[in-house]
Amino acid sequence: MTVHTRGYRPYVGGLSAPPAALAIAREASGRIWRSRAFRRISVLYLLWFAICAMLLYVSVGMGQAFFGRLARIAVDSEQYSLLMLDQVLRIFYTVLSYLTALLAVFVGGGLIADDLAAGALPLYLVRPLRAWDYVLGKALVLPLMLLPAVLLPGLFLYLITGLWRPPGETWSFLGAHLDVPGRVVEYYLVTAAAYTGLLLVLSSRSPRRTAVAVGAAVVIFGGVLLQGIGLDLRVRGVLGDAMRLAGLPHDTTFPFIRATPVFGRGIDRTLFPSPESVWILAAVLLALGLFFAWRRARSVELTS
Amino acid sequence: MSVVEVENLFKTYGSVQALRGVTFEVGEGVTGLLGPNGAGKSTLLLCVLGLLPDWRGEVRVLGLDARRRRRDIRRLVGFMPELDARLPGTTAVKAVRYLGRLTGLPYSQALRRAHEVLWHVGLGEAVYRDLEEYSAGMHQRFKLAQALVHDPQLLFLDEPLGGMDPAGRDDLLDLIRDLATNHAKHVVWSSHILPEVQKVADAVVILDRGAFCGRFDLDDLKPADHRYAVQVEGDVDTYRRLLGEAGIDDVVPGSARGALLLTLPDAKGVHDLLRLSRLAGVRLRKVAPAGESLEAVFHRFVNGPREAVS
Repeated sequence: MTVHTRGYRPYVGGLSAPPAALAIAREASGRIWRSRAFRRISVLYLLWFAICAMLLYVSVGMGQAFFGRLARIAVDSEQYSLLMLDQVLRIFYTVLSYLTALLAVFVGGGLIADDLAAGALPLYLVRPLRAWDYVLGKALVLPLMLLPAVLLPGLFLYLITGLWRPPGETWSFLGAHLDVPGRVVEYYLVTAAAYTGLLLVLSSRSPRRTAVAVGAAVVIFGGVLLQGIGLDLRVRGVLGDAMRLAGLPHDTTFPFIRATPVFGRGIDRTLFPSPESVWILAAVLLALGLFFAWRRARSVELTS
Repeated sequence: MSVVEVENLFKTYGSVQALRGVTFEVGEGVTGLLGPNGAGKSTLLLCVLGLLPDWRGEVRVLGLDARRRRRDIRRLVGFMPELDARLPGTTAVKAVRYLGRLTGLPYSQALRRAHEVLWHVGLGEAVYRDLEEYSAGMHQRFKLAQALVHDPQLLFLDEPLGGMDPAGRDDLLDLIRDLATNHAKHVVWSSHILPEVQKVADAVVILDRGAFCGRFDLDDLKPADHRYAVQVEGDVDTYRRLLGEAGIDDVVPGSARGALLLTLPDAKGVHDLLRLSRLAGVRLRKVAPAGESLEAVFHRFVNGPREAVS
C-alpha cells in the first residue's frame, strides 16, 4: 500500500500566535533536563544544597545552644542567626559557583551550536516567528535552569533561618533582613545574565558544542585565574579593577554575597569590584550575546 | 491564479551575483524549479521565504508581499530544506509537534497533526524514535512531515528526494502528486534531476547561473497526434518518394542521418510505414511518437539565449 492511500486529513482549526520565545525556551530547557550531563550536575547541586541545609539546621535549629556558646553570642539573638546564615550562604555559593560554571560549560554550550550542527535554523525560521523570538527563547534557557539551582536554594536557606527563630520572631527577622534575599536575587540575575551572554556569543560562533565548551572554560577559568592574581598581589587602580572583574561570570559571589553590609564583616571590600561595575559588565556581555545570536539567526546558510 | 510572482529579483553574496534580475510566475499545481548546481534555485527559495537578508526585487506569495507580510506567508507555506535539518536530541513526533506549535497550532491539535503527518509520509513505525537514529531517506520524510504539519496551501520542496532509494523516491513522488491533485496543494519543487520533476510537475521554470531561462508547461512536451519520429537505415530518398506517393507529404529530415519527422494523415497508420519500408528496401530502426524530451528542452533553454536577463 502506498503511503498516500492512507489518506491525508486537512486541518480545519485556526492558527494562533503563541509566545514563541517561551515555547522555544521550554523546549530547549526540556532537552537539557533530559540530558545526562545535566542530571549528573543536578545531583551534585542537590547534594550540596542538602549538606548546607543540614549545616544550617544543625547550627541554627538543633545545635544553636552549643554553637552559640562557642561563638559567645546569645543563642536566641538575631546576630547569631545572621552569623550562621552568613557562613552557610558564603560556603554554599562559593562551591555553587563552580557547579554553575560546570553547568554553563557542559550544558549551555549547545544553546545555539546544537541547532547549527543539526541544521535546525531553517526549521525555526520558516515558522511565523521573528529572529528575536528565537534569540530570546535561547537566552531564557540558562536563567530558567539556574532558577532552581541558584536562586531558590539561597532564598530557601534565608527562609528556614527565619523559621527557626523563637516563636513570634520569624516574620520580624525575615522582614528586618530583606537585603539578604535582595542580594541573592541580584547575584542570580547577574550570574544568569553574564553566563547567558558569554554562552550566546560562543555558541552562535560555532556549530561544535565541544569547541564552545572549551572556549567558555578558557574564558571563565582564565578570568578566575586573573582575578586570583589581582587579589593576591593586591593590585589597585584601573588594572586592579579589570583583573577583579575578569572573574565574571564565575565569581560574582564577591560583590554580592561576600561583601554585603550584612556579610561583609572583616573583609576588605576595596579588593572586590563594585556591584555597579559587575552589573554593567554583565549587561554588556548579555547585549553582546543577544547581538551575535540575532546575527546568526537572521538568515539561513546555504551550505553546511 | 499565480501562487508565486517574482519580479526583478537580485541577490548577491559578497561579489558573487547569485540571482540576476529573475522574473517569472508560478501557477497552481506542481511546478518544477530546474537548473544545474549553482543555478540559484535554493537562493531563490530562501529569498521567497524571507530567509535571506538584503535581496532586491518584488516577490508575492499567494498574493501577499514577501517583504511586508512575511509572517502571514509562513503560516500558509511549508518548506522542506535541502540540507539535513532536524531538531537535536528529540523524537520525530515531539519535533513535529513542537514545530506545529511554533506555527500556531493548539497543543492538542499539534500532537494529533504530528502523528497524522508522520504516518502519512510513511514514518508511522518510527514516530517515537530519536531523529538522530533516522536514515537519510527517513530524514527526507521527516522534513516533508514538518512542512505539512500546519496543512499549508503551498509547499516549497528543495531537492526532496536526495538520499532516498528508488522505492522511496517513487513512494514520495506518489505522495506529492497526491497532495497536489487530491488535496489542492501547490508545490514548488526545486531539483536538478529532470526525470523526477517530469513525473510530477505540471510546469517547469528553468534557472541557470542566477538568471531566468524559461518557463513552459509539461503538456507542451507531449507528442502531437499522428506525429512520428522515424529512423531509416538504407536509401532514405527512395523511402521519402514512396511516402509522398502514398499521400504522406508532411515529411522533414531530422537532425541525425536517416532520421525523419512525419505526420500521418487520418487514413494512414504505422503499418503503412512498415509496408512502404519493405517496398523501398530499407529497414526502420525506430518508429516512435515525436515529442521533445524535458532534457532536450532543458538543454536548449540552458545553452540557448536568456529570455529575461536584466
